[in-house]
Amino acid sequence: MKSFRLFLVLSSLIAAPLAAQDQRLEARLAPETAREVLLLLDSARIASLPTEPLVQKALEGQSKNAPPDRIIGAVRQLLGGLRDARLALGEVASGPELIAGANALRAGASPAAVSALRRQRGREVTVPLSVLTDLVARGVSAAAASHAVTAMVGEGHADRDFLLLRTQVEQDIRTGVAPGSALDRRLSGLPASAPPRQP
Amino acid sequence: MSEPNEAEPAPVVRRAIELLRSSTDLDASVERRVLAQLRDGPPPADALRRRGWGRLATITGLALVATLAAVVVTRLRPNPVPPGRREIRFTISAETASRVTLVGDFNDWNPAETPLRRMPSTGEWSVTLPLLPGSYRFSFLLDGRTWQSDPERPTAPDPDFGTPTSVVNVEHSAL
Amino acid sequence: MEHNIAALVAKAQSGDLNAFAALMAQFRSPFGRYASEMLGSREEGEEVLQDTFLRAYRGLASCREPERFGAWAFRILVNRCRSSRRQLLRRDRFRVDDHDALESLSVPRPEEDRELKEAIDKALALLPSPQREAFLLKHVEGFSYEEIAEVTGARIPALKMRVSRACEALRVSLQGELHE
Repeated sequence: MKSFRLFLVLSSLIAAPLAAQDQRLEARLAPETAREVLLLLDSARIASLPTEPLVQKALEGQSKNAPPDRIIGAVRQLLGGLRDARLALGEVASGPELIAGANALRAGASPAAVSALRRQRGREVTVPLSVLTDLVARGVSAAAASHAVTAMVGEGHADRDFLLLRTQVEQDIRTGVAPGSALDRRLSGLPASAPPRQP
Repeated sequence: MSEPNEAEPAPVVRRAIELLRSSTDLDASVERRVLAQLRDGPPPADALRRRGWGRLATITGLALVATLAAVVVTRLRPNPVPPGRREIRFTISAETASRVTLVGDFNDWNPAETPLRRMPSTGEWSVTLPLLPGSYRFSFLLDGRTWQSDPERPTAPDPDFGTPTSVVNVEHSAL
Repeated sequence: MEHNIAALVAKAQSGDLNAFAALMAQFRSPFGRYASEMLGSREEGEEVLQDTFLRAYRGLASCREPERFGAWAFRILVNRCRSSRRQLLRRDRFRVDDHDALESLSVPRPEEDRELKEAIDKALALLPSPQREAFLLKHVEGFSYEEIAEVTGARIPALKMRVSRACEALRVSLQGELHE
């Protein structure tokens, strides 16, 4: 009996992080809304999709006094995006990669382009996808951002090159350069992905 | 949930689906019965092999952590940034506001948790948060009623709730 | 938070029962709901769920992608439901008015909902099990067709046909039962 009580305490400690998601939703959302969102979380868990972004989406909606059906709709849409990202990026995609993929698809990147990025790079594309999304958010067209990121992946650029590009494009836009022009200018100034061969 | 190009179920079927989703919540007795049976049986096939290495790794790991903790304690500075986090500054110009808070994924969208401080000289409001690497959506809330995005950061691609939302990306290391 | 499942599975694979307990708590609701509705009885759903968890623990070494434990374990559940001999008796349960069986599925709810729930359970019992399975996975558990295909081994066009037929059969049954 003692060991059983110990088990209950220990299992509650381990389960706490997992149950914490449910408690946050139950504490903040109306019961019917919480139930619907928890069902969506169940689906996400079984499909091995990240659940924290879904929780945050629901809490954002509550914080902004959105009506229940809008909250549920937003969570459902995000779940759909994560599923689409899984399809595009494949079974090996990590949680952060799936989130970045869902954001990129929402920003206008095509599933084929996202899929091609992963295939071409052969490893995590979280940073290229995040940079693609941010470029679009700054006003670069989805097509131009997608094309730029795809080209850089093809050339073998490391994550730091994508981050540098984003920072530079953002700086240029702040000084008044048009987003598309800022991207073109900075792309042409990127370092080569490999050092030149010694003679 | 229907796929595109798939007909929606009829209203009576949709109602059925709603009821089915809310049906039968099993309690934890299933788990207790399973555990009772498992305790009497052997562990999974490779558990014994893993346990041997696991214990060695645990002992080594604990010794390493203890050593590192001793080093860290001697070099403590006031309010150190927790390991793995980066300090990110959020600033907004809101001259007429009497209260500004930062609300986002990093504080469960709690409107009251993260107040900004006003800089008397500039009229700007700011706060610095230690954040783990990742992408966070957020907004500023002015006087508890007006949502405002961060002009210095990208806009979130999905304004699901009709209010301005920004995104901050925290990288693993500074450029 | 997503990495917790992989970490729990890894611990459970080393024989940590507390970690496995946490995994069971995580998946109990959706698994239990599916099993109970598939078999038409909460009691039998619990039994199959228990069997599933036992098999999952004993076969954990073959879970090669710990982060995909949910889908891997759900496949076991679907197979256990399929082979449950009570599956064969489900249709018989509703040939006479078996209120005890219906009671075992009920939770406190308004009278109107109770009547509809009884009608739903009868209608589900009349569906061929592949249609019932596909319908529950798609519309109650909310899986995509790709996910259902992975769990059941069936092809997507076949699954879509099963769901469509199930929805139509349920509509006819429920409208007939409720005189809509």
